[in-house]
Amino acid sequence: MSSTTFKIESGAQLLARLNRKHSIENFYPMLFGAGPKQGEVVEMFSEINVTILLYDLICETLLPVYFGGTEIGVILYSCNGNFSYDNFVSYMRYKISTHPIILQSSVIQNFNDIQLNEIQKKLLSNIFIADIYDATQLYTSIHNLENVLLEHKNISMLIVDTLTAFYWTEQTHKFIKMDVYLKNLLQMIQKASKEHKITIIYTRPEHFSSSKESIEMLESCSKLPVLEKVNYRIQIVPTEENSKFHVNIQSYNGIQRTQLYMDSYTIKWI
Amino acid sequence: MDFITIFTQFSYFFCSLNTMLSGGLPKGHITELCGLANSGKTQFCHQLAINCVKETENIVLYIDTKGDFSSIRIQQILDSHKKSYKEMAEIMFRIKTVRIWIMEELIELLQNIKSGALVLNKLSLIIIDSLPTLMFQHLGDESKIGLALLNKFVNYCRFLCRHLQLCVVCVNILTRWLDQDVELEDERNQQQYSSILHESSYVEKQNRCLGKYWQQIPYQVLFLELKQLQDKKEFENIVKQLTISVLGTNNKVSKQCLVTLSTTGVS
Repeated sequence: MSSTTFKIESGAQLLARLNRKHSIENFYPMLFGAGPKQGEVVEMFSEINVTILLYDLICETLLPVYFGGTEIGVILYSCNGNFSYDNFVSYMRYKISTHPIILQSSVIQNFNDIQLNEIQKKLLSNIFIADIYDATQLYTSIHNLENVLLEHKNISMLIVDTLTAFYWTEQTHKFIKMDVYLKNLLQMIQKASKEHKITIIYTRPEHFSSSKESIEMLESCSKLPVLEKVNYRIQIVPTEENSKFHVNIQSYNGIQRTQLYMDSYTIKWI
Repeated sequence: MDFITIFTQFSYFFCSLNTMLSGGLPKGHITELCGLANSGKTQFCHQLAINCVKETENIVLYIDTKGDFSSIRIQQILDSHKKSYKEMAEIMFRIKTVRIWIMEELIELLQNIKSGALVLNKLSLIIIDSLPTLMFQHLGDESKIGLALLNKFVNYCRFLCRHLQLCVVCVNILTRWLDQDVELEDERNQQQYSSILHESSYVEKQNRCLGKYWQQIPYQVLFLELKQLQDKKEFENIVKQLTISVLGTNNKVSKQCLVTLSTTGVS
């Protein structure tokens, strides 16, 4: 007698399955090579604030395809207060106005502030920012993530800056290990966004780890999206030279090293 | 959500410092003011409070945790700038001072501002002089209650900064350590950013207090350093020179400017 298995699917799951997400592969080759694939998790850590790098990542994500971007929607959970709207807008305007497409194009003579404002307005309509001020708001936002994703079908990426911002307010008599805390939160986000297969990027301070080992000794990255596992781990290391940073990128294929120059307005990869 | 709002910045200072800070202290963020003991931090805060309220309708909340806020000093600075009694009174009225001795009280105060139980119209700047004084009470506490309180304090500050469009200045202390035979790699690991004195086998290192959690919290860090050799007397006033530095993205000094500290205030 042949056995037949049935899978029960909720309306929300059906909707999520039918709303196929845009691919964001190849969108930032300096960090992710051909990736990241849908549903993958990226961890960024450093002893400095990596907000400028996040500005650049978000810009690349929002930019139209003819600018080399992916033109997808992004949701940002700002937990550390370092994300500044005006700085982000300035960064974006500078990036668009100095983009090779604009500079090389014959339309540069006609490219004016009105056009720039129109492009900017269009891009900003695809970013959703939630300012989060305590642990309760963070958990509520995570539980509400599925609703937001259902409402805005174009969102394909979640950025949490910084995921561990409320760790100490949650420690009372019994401490939760930092790694365990991080994994619990990640698992919660992954479960909330499971059906939608969005890419998750989160940041943490460098010291926020139960292990004080170097990146080579940290838990290896997973090849496929798996619960509680990261697929890319990115470390930004300041150097003696101002604005110059070493970048260590750990993925399933091993560790790659590169360098970048980063100031308030530009990021230049070496 | 409106993303194109351009936050204006306070212009509290005289030209060189304003230029260095690209217009002043950024609204909506926490700024840390850090320096060794006796480097002019409190004097700088007094001047900051005066500059913020004079010629504006701003209100400054000065949270004094050490008991050394001096209204006489404020009056002395204003007097030296030839302000009339009426002007002095107006300026001093707009600097609200509160003395706080424990972290819980500080959090309760911020909570009251957040909830609207305490209303300070046109509040633009909160100065906390100094935060380590409150945090040191929890030093060595294994329950890490100090960190929980600091985390709560940061959360409230961030909320107030963003929603009331104000600036929070936290005074922090720089400590000096003399280590023997310490390699540079160790210095990096311990997040120590500068070494001034190099001798045969001793290295003097300076550390920002409040621990690793705090290191990435301020949006901007200003360092105050007293230039001892430049002290001189001018018309019976002791004039000292202060170097004010801004930390760059890599936790190293990126910009510097020089100010003078005298009985007429910081200028």
